Amino acid sequence: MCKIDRSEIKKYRFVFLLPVFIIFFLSACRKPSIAFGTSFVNNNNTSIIVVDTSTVLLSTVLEDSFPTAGTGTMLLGRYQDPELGMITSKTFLQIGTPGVKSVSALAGFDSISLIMHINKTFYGDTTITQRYYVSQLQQVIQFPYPTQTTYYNKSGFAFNPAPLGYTDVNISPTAVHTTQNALDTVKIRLADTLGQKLLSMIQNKSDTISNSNSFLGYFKGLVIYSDTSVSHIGTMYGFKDTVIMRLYYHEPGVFTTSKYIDFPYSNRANQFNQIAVNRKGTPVAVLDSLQSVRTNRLIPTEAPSSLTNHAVYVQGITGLQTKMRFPYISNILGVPDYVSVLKAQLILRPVVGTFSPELSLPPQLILNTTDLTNQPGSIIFANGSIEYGSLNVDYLYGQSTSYAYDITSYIQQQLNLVNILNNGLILSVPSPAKSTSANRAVFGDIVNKNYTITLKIYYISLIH
Amino acid sequence: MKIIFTIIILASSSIRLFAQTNNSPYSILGIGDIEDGYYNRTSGMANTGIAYRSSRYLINNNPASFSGLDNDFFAGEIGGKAKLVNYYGSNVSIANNQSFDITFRKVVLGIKAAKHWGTSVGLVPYSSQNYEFNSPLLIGGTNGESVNQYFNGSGGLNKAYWANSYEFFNHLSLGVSASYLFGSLQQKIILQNTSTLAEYVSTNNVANLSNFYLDYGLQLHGKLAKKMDYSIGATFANNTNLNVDLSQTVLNADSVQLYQSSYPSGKFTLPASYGAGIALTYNKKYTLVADYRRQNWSSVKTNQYVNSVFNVGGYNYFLQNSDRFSAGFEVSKLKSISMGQYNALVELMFFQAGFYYNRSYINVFGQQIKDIGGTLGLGVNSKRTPLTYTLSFQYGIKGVQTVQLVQERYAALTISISYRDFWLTKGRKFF
Repeated sequence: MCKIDRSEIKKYRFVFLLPVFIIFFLSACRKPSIAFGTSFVNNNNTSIIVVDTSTVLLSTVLEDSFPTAGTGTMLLGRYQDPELGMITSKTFLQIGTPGVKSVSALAGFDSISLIMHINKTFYGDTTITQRYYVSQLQQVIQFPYPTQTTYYNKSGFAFNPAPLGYTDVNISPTAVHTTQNALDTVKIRLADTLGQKLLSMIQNKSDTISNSNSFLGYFKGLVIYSDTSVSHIGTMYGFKDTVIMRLYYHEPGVFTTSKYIDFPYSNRANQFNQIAVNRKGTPVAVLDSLQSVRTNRLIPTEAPSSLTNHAVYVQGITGLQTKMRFPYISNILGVPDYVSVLKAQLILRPVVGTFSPELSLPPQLILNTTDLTNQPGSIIFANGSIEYGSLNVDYLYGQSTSYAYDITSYIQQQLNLVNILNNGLILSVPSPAKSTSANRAVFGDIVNKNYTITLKIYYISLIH
Repeated sequence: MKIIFTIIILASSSIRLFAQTNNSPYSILGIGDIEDGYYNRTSGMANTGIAYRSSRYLINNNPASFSGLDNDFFAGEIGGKAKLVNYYGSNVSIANNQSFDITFRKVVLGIKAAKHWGTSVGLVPYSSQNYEFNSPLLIGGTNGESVNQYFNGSGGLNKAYWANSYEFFNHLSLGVSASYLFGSLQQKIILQNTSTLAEYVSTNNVANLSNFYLDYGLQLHGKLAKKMDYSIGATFANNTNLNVDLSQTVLNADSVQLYQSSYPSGKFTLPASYGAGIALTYNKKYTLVADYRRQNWSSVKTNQYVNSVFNVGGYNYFLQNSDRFSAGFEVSKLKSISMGQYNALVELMFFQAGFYYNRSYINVFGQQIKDIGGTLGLGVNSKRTPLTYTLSFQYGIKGVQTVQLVQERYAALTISISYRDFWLTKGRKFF
């Protein structure tokens, strides 16, 4: 009888089970996506629906006073904005002691000039000739109150109405060229008497020249401003704050040597722009009258769009901000198929005709939360980054120009609150452009449906 | 016992591998693709085996077959399949039209409990669902904005059975298989950003189906002539209502549940099925088999379609009766072994070939989906171990390439490993 060799079975048992384990552990799989089956499913049940008819209440908020010091930009110019009125900006700055403390007694004065450099920003017609004046301050730039820590758009100091000098120049900021043919440099020749006086002080080794505090007390500072005659409607230009007052002299010798002494600007924090606005006859003139009658001076003045020609405005240097309220978004919670907000998008379309390559839109606008106080709260973020609006400019027709913001988190948060009637968002120009740029935007309200502010809410819909 | 333990471990682990991963577009309809393979000795003969009987192999094609097992032995079998599919049609991208997977398909055990009584337990697939596709979904209230809908279907039904077969008068075998059908069909729909595929919301529809299920078998076998054996078989299963529990869960991108609902329990009717087969064996060596199977799906009402609960329109498809014709041929290589006073025939290996024609239960866009193909098989009985390896190769074409339909051309390799050992020897030893 044949006997079974158990040891043989044991010996080869797991060898022959090897294919089993191979199959067990192998799970290679490739699965193509085949577009078949769409006809047999009618998912939804779940879908995404957009609602873009939610009411957006618009108003313009006036931030009357804001810092303009230490921005690194001197804003100079005067121009008539068809929407916002006459805007004028002059800059105040301090001049420091010269680097050269002694000069030969035989040196002779040649001239003295103020040298500025454009920073390529502008607003308005660049073909118009600009006239810039320089006057000497009659007061030292210092805080008038112990609690004050900076200088504002309405700050100012007395200056000698007789200018030290002026210049007429045409500036091409994009080409970095001026009619003075010195690239980005604009030079204003100052009065010879000033230069002669300063040279004499250097030659005499005057303490006033060598000691910065003494010099400050003596010289005080300068103000630069554009022509304010009514007939002169100019342009806003930005300049770097790194101005130099340069004294040219010569030293006799076998060959006459031309030299110069630089008086650089000093203390950036004490350089500021004074900005004045005359809104008379413009849609935003009502802001001035509301400003004068407001009872709570801590709350910035607010004018609904119905009072400002059914439009709202944003401009940094005049303190104009746009406030948006969404009082009825809670109604979406009552929609039967509503589940949750997937995305909320705020789209802002500037009114066509209110912007151009010369009167360009602010490249960035930020959103802050706000409430009844009109004070800016937390800034709106999306995906970890500040929302700046992703400006899209339609260079052909202008009609598709828009800013777009993802305000999903904000809307989701508001939907969890009970009373949101006074809550809203403030649209403004971010710093430092806020106090150095004249770019502005105009948006229509519900009357101007094509160029207005729209809230699009994408929500998840579930039909039970 | 170690082998039994190993098989049990593999069986319990293989449950998770029953899920098919090849894309099967038509499985979105009904309860998916009805499994027509048995992953056993008959696989090489196009799974033709209603009338087939074996003393060594577990022929779960017909519950009446188990009474043919050798006395005092138990057998265990596991089966797996590797399948490569090429898809054709207007809905298929030429650059990405191939799918491949390897899956376990079954685990069964069987013993001859008494001289005329065979019994078997096992876990086999009953149906499977596996599809995936994308479709744009317009965002309501917009002028053409859309999101991507990603559909993924998976799941299927499994059958855990206990079959018993008793032989009467050495010619008639009756069998009954008591099964528990269970499983779930899952449909996941994800709404995604069209560009980044970032997920917005997902909906998970799950249908859990279960119930007990009975199918019956009969085999009548004997000798036609001195060297000619015959067997006639029949199978039958009655209408069975599966209990259906439906639920829907909606999650946002952070997997926070937005909505959850359970629908009232329902029923899904598995229609009656019939089968008939014949097997002729000449000289214990050459076997010819043929089967016919039918299931009356047209009796299932539209509103009972499982998918209809998930708002399937049902406009372009319906269920109709399914038929399957198959035939096969087998040649065994036998060897006479001296057992002392007598000789015994031992099968060393076998070769198989088969053909099948299947008209499925799905009619879509006016076309009943047909599946036609052929098989080749090879089996080897190990000389030194109680293992037997069965390999079968299958090639088939399912569907057509007409508008909106998908044709699958597939090749599959099925492996079945059978282990047989003594059950109770009562002191006697056998070869």
